[in-house]
Amino acid sequence: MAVTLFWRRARARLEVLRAARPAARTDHPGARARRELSHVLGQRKLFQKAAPGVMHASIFWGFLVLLPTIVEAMLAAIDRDWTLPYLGHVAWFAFLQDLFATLVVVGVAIAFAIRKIQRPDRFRGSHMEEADRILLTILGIVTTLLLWNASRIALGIPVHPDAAAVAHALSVLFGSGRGTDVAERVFVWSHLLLVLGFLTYLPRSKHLHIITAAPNVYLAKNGPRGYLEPLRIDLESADADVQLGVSVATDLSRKQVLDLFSCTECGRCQEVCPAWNTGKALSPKLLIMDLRDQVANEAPLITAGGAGIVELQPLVPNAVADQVVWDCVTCGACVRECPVDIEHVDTIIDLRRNLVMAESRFPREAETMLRGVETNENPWGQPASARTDWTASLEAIRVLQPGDPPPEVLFWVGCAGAFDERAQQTTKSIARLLTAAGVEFAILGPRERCTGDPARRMGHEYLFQTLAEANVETLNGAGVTKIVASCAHCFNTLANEYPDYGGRYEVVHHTELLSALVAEGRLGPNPAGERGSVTYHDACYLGRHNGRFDAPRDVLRAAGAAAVEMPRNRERAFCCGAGGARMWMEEKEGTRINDTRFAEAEATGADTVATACPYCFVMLDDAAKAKGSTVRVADVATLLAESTLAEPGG
Amino acid sequence: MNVIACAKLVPTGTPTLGPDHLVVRSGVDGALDPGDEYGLELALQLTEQHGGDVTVVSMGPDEAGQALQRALAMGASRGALVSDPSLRGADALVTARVLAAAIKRYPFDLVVAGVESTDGYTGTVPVTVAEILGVASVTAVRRLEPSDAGARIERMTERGYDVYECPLPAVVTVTAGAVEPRYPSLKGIMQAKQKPIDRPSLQDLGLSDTKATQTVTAVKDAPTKAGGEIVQGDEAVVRIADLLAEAKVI
Ligand code: SF4
Ligand code: SF4
Repeated sequence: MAVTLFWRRARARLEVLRAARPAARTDHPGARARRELSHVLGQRKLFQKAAPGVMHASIFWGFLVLLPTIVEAMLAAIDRDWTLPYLGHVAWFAFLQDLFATLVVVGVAIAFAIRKIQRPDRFRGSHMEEADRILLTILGIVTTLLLWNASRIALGIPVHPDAAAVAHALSVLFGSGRGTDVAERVFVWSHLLLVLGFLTYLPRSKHLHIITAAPNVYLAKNGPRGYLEPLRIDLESADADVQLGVSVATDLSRKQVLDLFSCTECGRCQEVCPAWNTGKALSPKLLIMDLRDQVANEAPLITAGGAGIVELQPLVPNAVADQVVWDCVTCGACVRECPVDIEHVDTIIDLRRNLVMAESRFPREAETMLRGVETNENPWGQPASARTDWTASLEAIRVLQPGDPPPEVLFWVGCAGAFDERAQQTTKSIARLLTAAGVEFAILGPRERCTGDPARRMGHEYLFQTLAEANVETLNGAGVTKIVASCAHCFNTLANEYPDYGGRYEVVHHTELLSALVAEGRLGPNPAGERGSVTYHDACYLGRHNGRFDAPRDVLRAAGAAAVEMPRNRERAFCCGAGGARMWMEEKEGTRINDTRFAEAEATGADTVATACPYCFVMLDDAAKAKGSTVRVADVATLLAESTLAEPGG
Repeated sequence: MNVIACAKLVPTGTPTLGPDHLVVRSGVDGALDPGDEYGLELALQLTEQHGGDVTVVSMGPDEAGQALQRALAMGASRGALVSDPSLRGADALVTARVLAAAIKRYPFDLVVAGVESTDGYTGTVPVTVAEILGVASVTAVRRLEPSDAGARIERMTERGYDVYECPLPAVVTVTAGAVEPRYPSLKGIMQAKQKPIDRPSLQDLGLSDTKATQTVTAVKDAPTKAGGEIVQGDEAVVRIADLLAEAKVI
């Protein structure tokens, strides 16, 4: 009966999954299997936090080892002398059973200590009572198991008393008389009933993750996390009904639905989210929980199909408020922390796609950016001819004209690097360094367009697509093979997203190229000696999203800087606040993300904060100015140029 | 309330003049004049609140169809484009005659336009259209609401605004900032492709003589100012007095 009940409830969830949009996430099975081993079996992401990691691993590994015990108990419930073939007779299994049952008790104890004594803020908004119920049930399951074994030892049933130390110790509680006979029956049955009760409870609880987590991890994105899956839009042939992102529950992909049913409400994502940490409405955990609740509530409508689907309510603003969707800086910290590989950012972008492309509903101030990108092909709305303005003070920079032979490296300046006065400093430093190192490079000048990143992260997939196609045509037409980009966002888009549009190039970030030039002896070493202490701020789209952590630090070392690290660095760096097109939106609620990050940098006592992306540069420099701080903000390239090039900056 | 909105395709970059002293339009990226979006937005809001629909009317090269598409994507119901090679170089008067003739083909209570185009800046076409149609016109409108008399209109002045009661139909020009033009959704852009665009010929409009009455015959750059003189130090006062005397000011 329990099994039928479980199956009925689980099937309701399965049918919602089946109704969802298929997700193509089965390529590279090898990589997926390896991730399964490390993230699920190895519990790698859980160990990102020590005590909770030990807690979870004890319970999880215990659960795996004790699975055969369920069958053993079932057999023994029917007849006391029945047991598992082989496993029921060997000492090592008795040993493991005893050990892991005890570990689970320890795990549950740690869990209660965390929840009741430590009470971390990450649980704010999670279902605490449900969690307690689950933990108590688990505790009940393993204690009844231990006591059952103990009573069997007392009765002299051959269950390897020497191997099962804990049960053996507990067996002193029991005599060998009639009472123990009864106790043995009571324990085996209560053990079984708890297990079965738990089973029926599963599908409707956050504990469903014990079933969904493994497939969810398997279906997670391979490769760099900064990559977004394209949504092809063909204006010519598409009818007006084409699905633009996610509006209602059935627009979600299967992976997105599975994400919702996998959330354990652990709050690790919430704890690291820059939006949540600065008092915004968005918490990635609450976002997932709220979406899950609406999908679960609408499950009968979804599985009924037809008329039911018509009645589905838009997820925004019913499950999550508009502002929540716009608060995200797409920093990916949440995805990185999530032990079950939930992909919050992809879902948020899909919600944005619908709001922008179907509803034209988004923070109005971002319209300037969209219009600029649309009409002038850059967010600043500047004329294309102004893209080379920064070259005026430098020796001849080669602007690649149509028909010219391709350069060894194309310097992708980026819109910020070309139009923002402060970012131009970085651009000039890079150009001077490349010239000094004898790199044969050129720029596209007026033929360069915005890569489309801000439009894409904003949800305007179509605008992004037109820019990507146009840029790929220019780059391929010019025979470009290698690109150096100075903006982390351009870098991510060119390297990870342009292949989808036929643009395949070797893309490096300027810090990578510079560190290689230093290593080859073509730049530096620094003649000026020490330059004081510098703390490096990892750009999300260079670091966490693309794993480039060392190159910028190497360049700083070459520039003679004594590096100090901020508490949150590398994989765990805290965003500057500009990503996800937030650069173009006002930040009204709570404190400012850039101020928060700058304060962290300043607290290291460093004289300089080094950045490697123009967005980070502008955000942190704004924060420094707002605070009237004496700490300087500068790009890694500018610091290297200052210490290795003879003449002062241009 | 049926509204006609005038729309113009203007170059997206800084407009340049060709050897014939006309704005270079071929091979130049163009877009709906941002100034026209205010009139269009007002028109859309009025019809959304009070019923009726919006027709956009444009005169220009074939590419002006883009400007119409944008207007249709924002929510106008239909477009009309008058495109004829003989209209290249049309002056403000000819443009007004063509637009008026095109407008007359549709029922309307109101014609809206931008205050002036952001390439030509004559600002005379809308009032001329009103004259030809024989209806009232109000320029620099910041608000408009239907009223018993026709419409209650607020017109920007240097010091604030005047309030008019104006009979309809009328022609109004809408100031920048009066309303916030909407950003068309992609859905809107897709739906725009299904909407009708009429392309009446000059004959359809009953116009035969569309030769410009005015042509630009020469363009002279404004003389650049000669470098001034910076006077500093103790003699500054004396030097300035000398200079003023020299210039016969004192
Ligand atoms: S990507 Fe960053 S800002 Fe967005 S929800 Fe995740 S942690 Fe928060
Ligand atoms: S989304 Fe992941 S990290 Fe966040 S609460 Fe759920 S399981 Fe935990």
